[in-house]
Amino acid sequence: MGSLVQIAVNGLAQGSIYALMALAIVVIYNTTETFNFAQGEFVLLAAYVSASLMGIMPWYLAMLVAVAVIALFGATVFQRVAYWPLRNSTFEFVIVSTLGVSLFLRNMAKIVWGAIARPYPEYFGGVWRVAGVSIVKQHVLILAMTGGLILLFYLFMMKTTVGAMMRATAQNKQAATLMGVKVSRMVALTYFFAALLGSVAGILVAPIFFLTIDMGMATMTKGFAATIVGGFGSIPGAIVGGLLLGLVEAFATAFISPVYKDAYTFVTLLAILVFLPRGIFGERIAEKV
Amino acid sequence: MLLSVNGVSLAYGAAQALFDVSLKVEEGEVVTLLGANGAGKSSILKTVVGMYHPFAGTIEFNGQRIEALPTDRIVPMGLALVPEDRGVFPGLTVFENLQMGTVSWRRRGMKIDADLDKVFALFPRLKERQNQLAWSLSGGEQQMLATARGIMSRPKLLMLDEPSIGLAPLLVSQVFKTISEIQKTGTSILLVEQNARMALNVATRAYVLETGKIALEGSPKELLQNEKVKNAYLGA
Repeated sequence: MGSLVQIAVNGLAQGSIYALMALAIVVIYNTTETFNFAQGEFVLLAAYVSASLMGIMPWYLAMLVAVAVIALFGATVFQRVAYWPLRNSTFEFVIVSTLGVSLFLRNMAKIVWGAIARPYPEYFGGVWRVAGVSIVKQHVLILAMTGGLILLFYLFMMKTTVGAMMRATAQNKQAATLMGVKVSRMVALTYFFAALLGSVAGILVAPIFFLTIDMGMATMTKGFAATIVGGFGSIPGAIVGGLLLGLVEAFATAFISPVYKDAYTFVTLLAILVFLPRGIFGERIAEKV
Repeated sequence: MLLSVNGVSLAYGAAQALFDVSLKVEEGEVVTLLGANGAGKSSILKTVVGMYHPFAGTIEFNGQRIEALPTDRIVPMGLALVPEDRGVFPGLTVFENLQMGTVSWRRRGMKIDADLDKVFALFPRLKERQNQLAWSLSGGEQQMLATARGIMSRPKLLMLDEPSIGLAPLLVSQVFKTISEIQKTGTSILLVEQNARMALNVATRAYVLETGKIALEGSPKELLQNEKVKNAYLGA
């Protein structure tokens, strides 16, 4: 019983990272009707930048600075270079362009930080023992941080005027323009959130994995799978899909074999596509709520 | 002069949609634009609001040249378009939709209660449905919402594109009654309609558009008696 709880916490922690990525992918899709294939590089950059900053400042400050810098980078330079010039073309152009930026960023990271995997400073290490169950502190931190971030995001989207403007833009761009909404600002804000979610995911997973230049792409791929499992375009779906994939991975790793860790995600994805092609929260096609 | 369109020509790619169109709207007027499907009526409204930019001619609103400006600069000047497809935000509540109408002028801390009271007086139905999501409204209610949202932007000129389209006859007469009421509050209106007789009843002046050109201009009285208008648009 105790070990089941342990596996579940492990799975939920991993899954909430996928949920952050899935949320970022869906938010970008809802506003721009295309994908950001460099979403994983926000994870990568936040992890590496914060690790470097830890040499000169306390760990919490290093993380805060890294997240702030990456989120602003996403909202400004990144979005202006990778998306904005192609906003009037079809979605596949943006996919290619963001894929290009992704390769560029990964190779820049390789030049700056080297190709060899290295450990991330453990900032919240250790284990709690509660009633015979060992819980990794980092997992609790991940759950608390993602839960808090998702709650704040929800409140922003549902309770503020700017949040309503973002939803309006996602639902009908032309009508939003007729209200005087500056779509360029909504796009910048959307990328700000995507980069924020990605970079928080980055500083949270880094202590669990080694730092490698592929860590972003690997995390993003799972996030993508989560959006499809949850029902593409749906925000609750992204969160539930992410958590579900995390749980599947954790339990399958424990009870079947850790060798196929990544395969479980894609087996789940295939099963969903076969039996529930619209995902768990499959929406009516005409309505993006 | 509130709006003056001077010799505007517009093309979509190789196809020309408007040819040397000139029209004006004075303060307090209800001007209607009549014409068959595809005559270019909607194109004129969309060009005025900056969704398209003409390759020739000028557009002046309230003394300022606007033909090259983007929509998000034009709307805050006091120009609102209620599009033919209504463009309500389906996943936003009625209240949030109305709130979106105030984006162009509202600054931090400003109240919108007086504006809400004004549109709820015009459309009591919307007050009842404030917290409902817009997709759940009927066609007539969605038209009310789109018009109300236009009024929330405090326009000097409200442009309505086919407000009666797809509505039951009873609702159609309600739409035109509302148009007269909006005019009484001091807002000028540029109205595109297929329902020529109803439109001419509320208008102070009218233009007839044929294949992208202004064919006729006059008072509703003159047009109602014009043989050509009678045959083509009034079904007499």
